[in-house]
Amino acid sequence: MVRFENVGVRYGVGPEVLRDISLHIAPASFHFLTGASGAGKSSLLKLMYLALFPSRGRMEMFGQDISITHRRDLPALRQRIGVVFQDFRLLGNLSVFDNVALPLRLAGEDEKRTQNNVSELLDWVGLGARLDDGPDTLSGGEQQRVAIARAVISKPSLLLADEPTGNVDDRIAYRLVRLFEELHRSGTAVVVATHNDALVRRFSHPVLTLNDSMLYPASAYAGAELGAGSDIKAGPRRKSG
Amino acid sequence: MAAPDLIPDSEGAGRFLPWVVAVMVFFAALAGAAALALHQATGTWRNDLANTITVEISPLDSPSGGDGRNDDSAGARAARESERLAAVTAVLRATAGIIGVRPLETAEIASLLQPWLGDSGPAGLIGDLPLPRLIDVQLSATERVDLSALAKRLAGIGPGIRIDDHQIWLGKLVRLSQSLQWMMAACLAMICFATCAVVIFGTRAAFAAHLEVVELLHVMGARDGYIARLFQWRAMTMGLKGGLIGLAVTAAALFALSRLAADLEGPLFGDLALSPFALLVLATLPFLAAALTALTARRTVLRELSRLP
Ligand SMILES: Nc1ncnc2c1ncn2[C@@H]1O[C@H](COP(=O)(O)OP(=O)(O)OP(=O)(O)O)[C@@H](O)[C@H]1O
Ligand SMILES: [Mg+2]
Repeated sequence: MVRFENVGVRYGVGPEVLRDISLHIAPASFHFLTGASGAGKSSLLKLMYLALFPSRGRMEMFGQDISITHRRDLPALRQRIGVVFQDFRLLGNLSVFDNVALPLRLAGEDEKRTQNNVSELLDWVGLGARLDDGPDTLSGGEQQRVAIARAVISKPSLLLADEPTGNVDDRIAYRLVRLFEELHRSGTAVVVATHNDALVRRFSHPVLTLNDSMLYPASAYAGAELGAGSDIKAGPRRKSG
Repeated sequence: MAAPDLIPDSEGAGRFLPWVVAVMVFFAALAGAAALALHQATGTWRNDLANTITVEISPLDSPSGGDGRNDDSAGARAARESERLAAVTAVLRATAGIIGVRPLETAEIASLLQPWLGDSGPAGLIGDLPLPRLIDVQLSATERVDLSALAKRLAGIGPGIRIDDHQIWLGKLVRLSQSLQWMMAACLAMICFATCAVVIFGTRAAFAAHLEVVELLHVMGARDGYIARLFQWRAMTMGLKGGLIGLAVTAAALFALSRLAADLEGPLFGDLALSPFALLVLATLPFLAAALTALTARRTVLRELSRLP
């Protein structure tokens, strides 16, 4: 689904912020992406949601070599990707409902189906009563749920979440990851960038770690904690499922 | 569709646009009205020229005594006059582009003068007057005759020979009017150009003001055309609004002008009235302005979008 080979990225004429990145994200997989602040997590996600292009290396999305993909074919690829931005990026002049409906409307989805799906999803994230409110009237956690609902409404093949647990307490952070797991189980490949190592350790998913602009695969970093992660995994699944 | 809400137009960036368009449409309508009126009038004037001119040959000066004191000299004068008439006729016939030359009979000239001098018959006043000779000249519809060159050549034959200068004057007027029409067309082009420039700057400002929304839509997989339509739609409504305001002001101005022109009642000014067709053309201006605004906004946004990855 996503395949990088020796990808390097630089902003303008600056130094490479990502070097020799090679990775493979299989369909319906689940990865954490960790690394210190400034390590390049957001840049790597930007590559994946096609808001940034590699300055070298080979990058393949949904089986298409990005360097030879025509610009007019990119929107169709982007529509298959859901993104939860760290700062939500909800549109203040639209209602909660319209924010979440946006991806479906962009994709030209039938309006009646859009109405049903959006109401259903917002019910499911516990915001069924706030459909017509503006996002600015919601709490931080509620806005986050709207942002997540918008990212998943069109059932993307790839879900990218940039620090989705950045400003919530551990309990909610845990529940959010559980929500992403739900999607993962229904077939979406998920990548969650976070620097909350404690949270990562509670799950048994592979971890990609960025360090000094280079990417280190899961086992080398979090192998020891994987056992502990799978212990915890069994319990709370009932709770949020 | 959520589309119209995505770019709220309460933002300041483009609010001046309708007023700019209103002013532009007003100027464009004035320039257009002038061009159309001149175009029509030129048609009429050109018809008046209608391929005929008149050459006038003044009678030779009578000797000092005046009332035909000497029959001999009167006869000689008549001979010289008809000689001159023949020379003029010959020159006219030899000129390319002239297809008919007909000297008017004295009786015809007399009847032309009758309204001014009264019905006095051959024995009356007119018979005694030294009348000018007139020649009707038929011009070819296809070949242009250089009237001022012809006038010079005729003057070479002798004094008192001239082409009816009303015709020459009308010809000059037609040429002036044509130059004016070109100028009006140039004005229209410049107005279009200035409008486009204003729309481009306004659209860029709006684009910058909504960059966050645009980038979000882009990352979500919105096509460039979809994003462009948001701005295009907004620009079109503003352009139409401004255009209608401009047209209303123009209508008032033209009405006032037409009242003033009616007071003049000159034969030339009457030709300047706008035909229903011309008025219809002017009435389409707001829609043309809206289309121009929308298209320009679209192109601007598409160009800005091409910079996004
Ligand atoms: N638009 C940009 N222009 C220039 N440099 C940038 C830009 N965005 C990021 N960088 C640089 O790239 C490097 C990686 O930034 P990035 O945002 O990917 O890090 P991150 O891992 O997401 O950090 P954080 O955990 O703080 O969000 C940083 O050194 C940053 O200064
Ligand atoms: Mg980041």
